[in-house]
Amino acid sequence: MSQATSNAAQGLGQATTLASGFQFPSIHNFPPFYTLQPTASTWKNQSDLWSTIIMRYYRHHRLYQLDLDDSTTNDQLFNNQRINRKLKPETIQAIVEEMVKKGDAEWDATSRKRRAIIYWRRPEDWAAMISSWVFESGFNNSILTYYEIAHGENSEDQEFYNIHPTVLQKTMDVLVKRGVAATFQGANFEEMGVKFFNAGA
Amino acid sequence: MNRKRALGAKAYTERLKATNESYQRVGQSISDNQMEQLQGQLDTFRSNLENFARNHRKDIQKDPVFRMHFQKMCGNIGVDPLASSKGVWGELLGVGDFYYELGIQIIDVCLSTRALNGGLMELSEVKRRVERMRGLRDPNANKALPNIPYNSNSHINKLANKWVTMTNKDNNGMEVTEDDVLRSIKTLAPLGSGFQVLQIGDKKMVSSVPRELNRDQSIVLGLVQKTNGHVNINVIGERLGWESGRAKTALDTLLNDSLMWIDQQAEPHEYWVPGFFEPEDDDIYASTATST
Repeated sequence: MSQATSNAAQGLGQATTLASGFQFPSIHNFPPFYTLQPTASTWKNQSDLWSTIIMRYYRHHRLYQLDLDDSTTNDQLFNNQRINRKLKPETIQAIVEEMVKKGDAEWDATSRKRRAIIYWRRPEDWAAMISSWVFESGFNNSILTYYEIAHGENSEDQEFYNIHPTVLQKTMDVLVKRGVAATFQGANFEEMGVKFFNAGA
Repeated sequence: MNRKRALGAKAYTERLKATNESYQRVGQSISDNQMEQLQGQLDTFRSNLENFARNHRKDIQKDPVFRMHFQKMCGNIGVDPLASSKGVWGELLGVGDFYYELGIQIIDVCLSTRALNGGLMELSEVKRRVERMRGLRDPNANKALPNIPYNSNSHINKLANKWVTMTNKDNNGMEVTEDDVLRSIKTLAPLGSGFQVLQIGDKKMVSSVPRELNRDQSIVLGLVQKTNGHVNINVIGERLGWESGRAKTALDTLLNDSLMWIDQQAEPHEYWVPGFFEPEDDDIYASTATST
């Protein structure tokens, strides 16, 4: 039916949907999408498209960390077996570098640009989400541990359930800086505590 | 004898003169009459045309075929009602607004996809996307409907088909033709926006970036239409008989103009025209375009 090109006939123009329900946009099947484009403006667009796909993929699968040395986690993301093309680690690194510039990602300082956190939500957004959950649930009068926030039974239905420790810490930093909450040292990361103030009252 | 003849001649001349004058008078009155009639006819024609336009305003705006015929009719008598939204015709019909609105939508479509296609897009694809923007159901999207298990006798299926036909009908008002798109792009020209329609190979392509393609670039783009949207130096050699230097130059300049993308994981390297790679209904292009 398509008046269009033979690509449509090849079925390449059609988006791929994963078993997880995640749907790649059709450009994921575009072979040159896996080569770092030498033309600057094309590369800019290419890296923008990739970062959008990465963010959506990470959000859908609730992933936080991108590790260049771990090829299994993102196998479906960066390795397209249907067209037999895959992104080289250095190209992924270049894409993440662009994301870092925009604040969509952050390199793990100790990883020499091999590991990064992908911010499909910014710490500011997580901060707003967590504090409204705290106040709505009436936890603002007690001290909550990081474990209770990230893995507690009360937060099971929350989007921040199983949040990555680094992201959680960045989120807490935002809250402390805003004077909304204070944190307390614990024996380990999960036993760190946080107390929310009745802000604005 | 002489005198008589002279008198006769004089009478003759006078008679002749009188006859001429009376002929002239008659002639004058006839042509006055005709002018009056013609003027009357013109007035009638004009008011008829205006009435026609007024009465069919909706059809002109909604029905693309009707609009085309109306355009042609007006073109034949030297009136261009669509040239602007100002003036009798524009105000009367509001059709200038139609092309103005369409123009905005074309700009939107071209800019939001420029990231991918380097600002070169098939006319038919522009039309398809504009129609989608106008809320017209994509005829190809109907295929997506069979979430409902297909069974030609199923009652649900019949209902679904009926629904599709109904929605299509309801959306008829949004339909545009390639002719409309072409006209609208012409009206964009004075903006100096660089919008133009290029004939490349068999296809009309809308270019939203001011550019001039050289001859070799056009030939390669025309070839790519026949080779599944991608090409390499060997294929150019076989099909066009060019030596590799010439082919490489053409490909590299197209790469530079962001009209082509390179796939270095193919051997020999494969050059792709993303404009010929049909994206389905992705929202990703729009979302990245706004974030940049």
